[in-house]
Amino acid sequence: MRIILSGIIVVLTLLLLPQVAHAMHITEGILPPKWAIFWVVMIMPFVVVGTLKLKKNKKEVPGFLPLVGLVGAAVFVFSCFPIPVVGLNGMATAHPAGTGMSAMLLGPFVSVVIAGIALFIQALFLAHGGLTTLGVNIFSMGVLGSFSGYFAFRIVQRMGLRLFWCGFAAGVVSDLFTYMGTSIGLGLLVFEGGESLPIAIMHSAKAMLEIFVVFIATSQGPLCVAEGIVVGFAISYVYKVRPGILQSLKVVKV
Amino acid sequence: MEILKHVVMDHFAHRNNWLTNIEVRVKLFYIGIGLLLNILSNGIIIPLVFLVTSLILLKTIKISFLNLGLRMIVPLFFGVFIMLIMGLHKGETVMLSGSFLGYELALKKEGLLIGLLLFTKMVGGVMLLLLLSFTTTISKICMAARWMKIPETIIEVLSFVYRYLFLLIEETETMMSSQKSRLGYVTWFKTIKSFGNLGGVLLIRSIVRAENVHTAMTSRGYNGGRVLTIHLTPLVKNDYAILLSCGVLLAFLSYFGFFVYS
Repeated sequence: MRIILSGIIVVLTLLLLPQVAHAMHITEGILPPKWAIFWVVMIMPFVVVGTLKLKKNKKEVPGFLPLVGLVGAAVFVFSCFPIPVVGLNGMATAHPAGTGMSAMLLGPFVSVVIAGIALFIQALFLAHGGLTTLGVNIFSMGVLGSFSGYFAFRIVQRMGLRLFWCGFAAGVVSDLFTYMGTSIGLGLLVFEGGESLPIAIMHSAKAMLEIFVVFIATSQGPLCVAEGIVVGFAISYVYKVRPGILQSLKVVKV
Repeated sequence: MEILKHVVMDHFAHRNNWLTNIEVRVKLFYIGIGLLLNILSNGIIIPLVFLVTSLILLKTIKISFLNLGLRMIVPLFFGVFIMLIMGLHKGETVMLSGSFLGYELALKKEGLLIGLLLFTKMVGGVMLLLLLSFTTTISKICMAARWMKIPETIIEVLSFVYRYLFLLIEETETMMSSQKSRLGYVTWFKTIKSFGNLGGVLLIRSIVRAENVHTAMTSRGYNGGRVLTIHLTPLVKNDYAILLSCGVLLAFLSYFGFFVYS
């Protein structure tokens, strides 16, 4: 029996993880109503502030909305780059989150809105994620991914390191936090109201940790590093070829 | 990237058939109610009903199983993953147990049943979403969103993202082909570096294009207002009939206890 279970787990791990890694967004129908509402409430302040910032900039800077839209489209395409996973060489590719990049260029609040729009399009046209799970997916990719990526970028920049390393930090940290958010969302599914609160929290925390460790130990760990390097190269390339773009977006100082 | 372009494109929604001709607000109401019922259901019947009805509806407009299958691959694997998580973390009756790298694991019956329910809800929900995406264009969804008082700014950004997405995908493919012909993807590190440069070029092009687009739009009278030009038609008798039947169905199913808050 033990051998059978171990075999099933190994086979499923090898088959499932590369596929699940393609879209680490929680799929439609998975969340019960209470969690769907909880996550929408959690993201609402960030979406509202992001929208207000967009409105303000739209009034002050002519052409700001086309800029946000096109950078959003570019980040969407960037998030579809099929990066080969080192540990599963040739077997699987994984996709970067892209929120680190958008947060770095447009700021974390606007990046939350961009992530929300990207997730909406993905849910409808790629069946990655969903509408009732939009809240949790925006929380993990939009809120956690954008803010962690933005602050990682700024902290490394203040440390005086080269732009490549700032981009690298933004890519790695935003990816890690995105997957942490997804693990939290999935881990809370095992939370049972019938149990006493400390035990229920312990069960959920155990599930979250296991999901996070499994993903990081397999495809997502190497992907984080790969996304960091890609973002680092991309931002360095823009600085080398058109430094004015990064200066006008206030990514680097003049 | 090629598959992405094929899958993302909403050319199915641009076709002229009885499902694409249904008013967008009615479709959104049906899908919204459907998704709500789907996550509220306490058994596998409701999600399976949505799965079967959506499949039948999509087959009436000749959507192939291949197209549906392409979109269902990732959700299906995700569903199996969720079943495993539930099986390992919920319930008491152990069906299979063992250790993996020294870690004790046990698959439990009750957890697997909950996982199966979630799996069917996932399949039912995704099919409902596909029903919407195969029959409704983003422009129509944007118009309905405006009618629902979603902030104009968000709708504008969504329109811009969707409008330029395919153009950027095409440009990326062209650049990738050139990089491949110059052996840009022969080793892992070269691949990563090529992707980095590609990302950089993509950003530069998108920002330069944004400036050009704004100049062109300003010259055509754009002053920061609406970017969509299509309008919603008023609701007619048939639309109200569908709306009413959705309401009656909801009342009927909840009366017979098909839904539970969990």
